Amino acid sequence: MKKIRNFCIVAHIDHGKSTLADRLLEVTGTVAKRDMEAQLLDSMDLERERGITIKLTPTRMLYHYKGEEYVLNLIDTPGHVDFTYEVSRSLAACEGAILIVDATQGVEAQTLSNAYLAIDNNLEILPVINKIDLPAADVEGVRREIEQVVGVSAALAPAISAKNGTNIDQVLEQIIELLPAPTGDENKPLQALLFDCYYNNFLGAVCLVRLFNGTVKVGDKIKMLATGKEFEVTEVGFFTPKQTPCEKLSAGDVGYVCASIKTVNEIKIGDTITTAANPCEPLPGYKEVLPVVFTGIYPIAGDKYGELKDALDKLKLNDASLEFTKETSTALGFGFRVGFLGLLHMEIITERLEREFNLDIITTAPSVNYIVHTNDGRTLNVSNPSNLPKAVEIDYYEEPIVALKMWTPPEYIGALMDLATNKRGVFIDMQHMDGNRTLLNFKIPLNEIVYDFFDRMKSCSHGYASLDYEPAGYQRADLVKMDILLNGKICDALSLIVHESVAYSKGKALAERLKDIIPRQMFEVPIQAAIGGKIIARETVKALRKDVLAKCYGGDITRKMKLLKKQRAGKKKMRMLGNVEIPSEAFVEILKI
Amino acid sequence: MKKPLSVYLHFPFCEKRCGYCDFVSCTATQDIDAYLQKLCAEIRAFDFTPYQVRTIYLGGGTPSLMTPEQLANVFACLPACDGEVTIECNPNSLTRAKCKAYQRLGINRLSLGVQSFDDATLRDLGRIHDVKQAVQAINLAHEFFDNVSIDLIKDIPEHTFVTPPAEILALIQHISIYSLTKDDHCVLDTDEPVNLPADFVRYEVSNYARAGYESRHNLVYWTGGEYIGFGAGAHSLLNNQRFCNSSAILTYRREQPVPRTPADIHDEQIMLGLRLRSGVARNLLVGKDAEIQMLAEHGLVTVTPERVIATAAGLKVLNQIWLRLV
Repeated sequence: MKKIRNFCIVAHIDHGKSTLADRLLEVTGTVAKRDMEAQLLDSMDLERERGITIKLTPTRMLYHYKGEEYVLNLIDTPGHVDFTYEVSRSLAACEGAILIVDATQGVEAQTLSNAYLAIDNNLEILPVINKIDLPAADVEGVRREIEQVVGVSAALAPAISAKNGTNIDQVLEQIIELLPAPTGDENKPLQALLFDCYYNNFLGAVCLVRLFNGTVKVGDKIKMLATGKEFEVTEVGFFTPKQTPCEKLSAGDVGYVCASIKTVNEIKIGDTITTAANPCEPLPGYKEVLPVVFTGIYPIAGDKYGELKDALDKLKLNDASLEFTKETSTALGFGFRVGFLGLLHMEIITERLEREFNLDIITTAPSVNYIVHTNDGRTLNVSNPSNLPKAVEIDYYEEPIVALKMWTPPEYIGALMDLATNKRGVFIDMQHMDGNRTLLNFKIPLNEIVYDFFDRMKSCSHGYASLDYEPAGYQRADLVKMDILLNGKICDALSLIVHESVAYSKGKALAERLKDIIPRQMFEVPIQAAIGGKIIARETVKALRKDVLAKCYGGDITRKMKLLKKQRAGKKKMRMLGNVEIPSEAFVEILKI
Repeated sequence: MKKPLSVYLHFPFCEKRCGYCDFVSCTATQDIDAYLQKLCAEIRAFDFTPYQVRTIYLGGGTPSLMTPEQLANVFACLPACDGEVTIECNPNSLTRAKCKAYQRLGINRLSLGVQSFDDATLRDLGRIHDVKQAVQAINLAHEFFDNVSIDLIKDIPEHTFVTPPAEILALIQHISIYSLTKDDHCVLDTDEPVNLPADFVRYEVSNYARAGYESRHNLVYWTGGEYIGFGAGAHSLLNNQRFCNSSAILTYRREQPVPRTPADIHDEQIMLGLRLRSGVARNLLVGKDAEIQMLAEHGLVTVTPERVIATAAGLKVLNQIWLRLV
């Protein structure tokens, strides 16, 4: 066990986490250089395109050091705030963490939040300063910043270029020298942390595990402590990064366990795996992850409902945090209410539905979960505005609040204060982190930051500010439901829950935006925004004056039909709402108000 | 029992090309004889035995450029026709001698390319005739034929549509009024009103006729009847296949038929039916009741137990209606 090191890499987005992982695989000979595909650990196209990692893929590497062979288990972690819980479980599977800091950018929001998460999990932190090949690199400045801001010693931090492969050996040596070996007892009952899982067509759910005590092998009867479910092990092994079966896994090992588990829904990330006959104590830190952002997803073509369901089922196989239930909209027909961990998670899922499953979908405005108190004393959880009780029945609303942290150079403090305050943020305090960085703490309603807060923060800070947030309970709020009427009929798919103070301006802006998006039709289309029964804004899409093919003689019908078919193809992306044709992007566009 | 057939003959030559015309045409009048030779050969090669020719239409181009002899040679290749025989004429090339020749050959309908009753408009369209010549040609045509049609163009930018005067309307039976178009599409946001006496019934989007004077030939196109086209760029519908000739004047060839699925045929029937006053048969619109009701509520169609018919408002946005009904 002394020859094992379990570690992960944490970093701010784009600081070079995946590139370093690639180099480690290459230098240890785990993957031959010719087989390297840039950023191998990010196996999904979408992830590779966006340069972010979503799924964790633990990889076993062998490294010879001072005449001994070491097993190095690299557990890659997602770098986005949406996946904080998954990150925390992966961290719990490790003894150490490499903290990468970009030599040109210094410590950023996610650097800090991930570093603190690692420290909270009692991991040994190994700072690494990356991108020293860039002319703007300031190794010594960043070294000081790491010590001042993160509070870990960076005197020995290797200065590397993951891109060019400079000083990668130093990183490997420090992993062995400075990170602790796992402790544990093979002879104790099995105690393994299930830190991730994915779906395989032949094996079912593949559980990614870290063993703290005991052993596990094929044929063992295992038990999940949180869910109480029992399974028989059909395969154990590790990744190189190819899935490689082995005889058994022992305390200290990282690998996978398959046990004919049909779907990932039967297991929970963070659960403890033990033997059915001789159970252990549960590992600490397990919690159920709950989605925070909800949206309606509908097929543009009504007859694609079945295909959409199949696609969501397939994605769910691999993504236990994805939740969905059937939903019916009078405007959009049959679809699903889908819960996500955050906006990025939502974007990834909707993009995968469109790309991998070739579905044209409509995503309705993202919403959060509100607590609605009715006059007769009931309490309802509502994430879909159409499920709200009538306005007269509502006593008051409570909305989810988050603790928001923004890191910024001082020159943008004013702009960020304005931004957060305009979004109903309440300023808590401000901390100077070092010479050039300030931390702003706010309490802010979650629904104010799920739309475009991140983009606005980036634009008003010229890209320098970064953010992180965590749930901070619920708070009473003056909210109202705003309906949009098209042609005099409420379009439930466009309804929003908004704060009373901005309802008028939002209603007006929304009606104007819709007027620009909705093409002219056969008849005039009035667009109205209403609160309760009261119209607060009105715009009109004028009727088409003329849309008819020219003379149809000389017998050339074929050309006319071609033109009509072209026109019809243009309509494919349109969705009928009542009698009104709406381009599918309308639903996304209205979020930008 | 012979099958009814309509015949289209294309004569692509003009004295001057008009910018708005999208039919195959050219000004190389020295090639007329060579072209007519090829045309006659093409007609003779066609087996008319199973057919009774019901209508003949000589379109162009400017068929009235043909001498009576040239025209007689063409007709000599054709079997007898028991119905409507139309020739398109340019007002400036119609003569008394030609009218007599047309009569002799069995032509019983004249279609005059008048285009406008405003000289400035005619000039801007690049026409080589003026209003005075047009009026003369209409009077001449009326002397010889009791079925005279004129073509007019409307929605021309910076020009106002001039309704034919009453004394002209008295001499004609049929008017085609086309909207000036770009890329075949009337999406220009102008739509000049057409005010004709009630005895000119709008029996198709662009066509108005006195009772009994609807163009039989064009109705064959619009109702799915069979027709054979001869000459450069001519179209045909025969044995359920649509095909056409290429547009090279002296070397045109018949091109491969465009395959049509049953769905394509269905879509065509709705497109063509919507353009007609008779409308579309309800049995072609299965499952579209909600759409039909919506269109009716907006005054875009009227509905009878058997048919759905576009209203004047509906005729302006036929493409949109079609998109809802297919």
